[in-house]
Amino acid sequence: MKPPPERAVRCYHCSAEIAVPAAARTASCPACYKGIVLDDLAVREGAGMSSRLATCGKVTIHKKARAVTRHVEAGAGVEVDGVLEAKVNSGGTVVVGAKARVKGDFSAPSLVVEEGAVIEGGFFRIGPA
Amino acid sequence: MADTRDNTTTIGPGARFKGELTLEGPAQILGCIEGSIESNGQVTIGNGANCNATVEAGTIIVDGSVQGDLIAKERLQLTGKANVQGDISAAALVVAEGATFVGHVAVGPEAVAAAQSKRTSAPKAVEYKAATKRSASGDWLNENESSKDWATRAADAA
Repeated sequence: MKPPPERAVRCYHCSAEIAVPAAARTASCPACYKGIVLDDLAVREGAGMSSRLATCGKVTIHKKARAVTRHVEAGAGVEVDGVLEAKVNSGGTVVVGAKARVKGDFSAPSLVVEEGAVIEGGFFRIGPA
Repeated sequence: MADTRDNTTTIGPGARFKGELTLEGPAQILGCIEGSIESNGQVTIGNGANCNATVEAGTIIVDGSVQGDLIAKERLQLTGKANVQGDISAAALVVAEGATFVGHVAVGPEAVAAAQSKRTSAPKAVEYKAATKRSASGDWLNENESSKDWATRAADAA
């Protein structure tokens, strides 16, 4: 029998690189045994407040959304078109849209800021880790 | 006859400038610069340039390496080859994928005003040097109020 296709993700708890089935939406990290989310997360509308938004996928803050969280962990990047207040740790590119407003510390391998975006302070560490 | 000469100030590759550079027009930095740059126009830090300076200008385009604060009154553009280590304040920021930087970032119309007022209110390095020189000369017992360190002043106030 042919094995299911796999993809590599990095656990946001222990940073271990693991292989998961390509179609999986959640998994348990074999290194730290903690549950991890593999889906992309999207905040679509209204104000959202939580202590943590974490996924091995991508986090998207849509145009009419306002997300205020302590931490955002995104393995595949962050895209902001609305308002985001958080400490962001991304494994992929962070894209700050033209009408976005962000506040907080950012750590990512690369950043794209479109003209018109507002960044209200914060410490940025952009580049290869 | 119209003047066809380009009025851009250029620090060429291989050139080394140390000090305070104040300009009215645009500037292009391709060499090594240490100190500060102030311009109302556009300042371009070219690929291969090594800029160890605070840059304050209308528009700043970074295509090389900068170690220092950047204050852009209108627009700051970091290309994919940019490498910045310092604080950024700009009315508008455009960052291309591949740019690397480490520092505090504030973008928006209020950010520039805040950065400028912070810069003007910061104590100058010359004053600090003078104070340390006086202390080194052995006159520290007769120092006036302003040259005391913060801990001493706090104790006096208490």
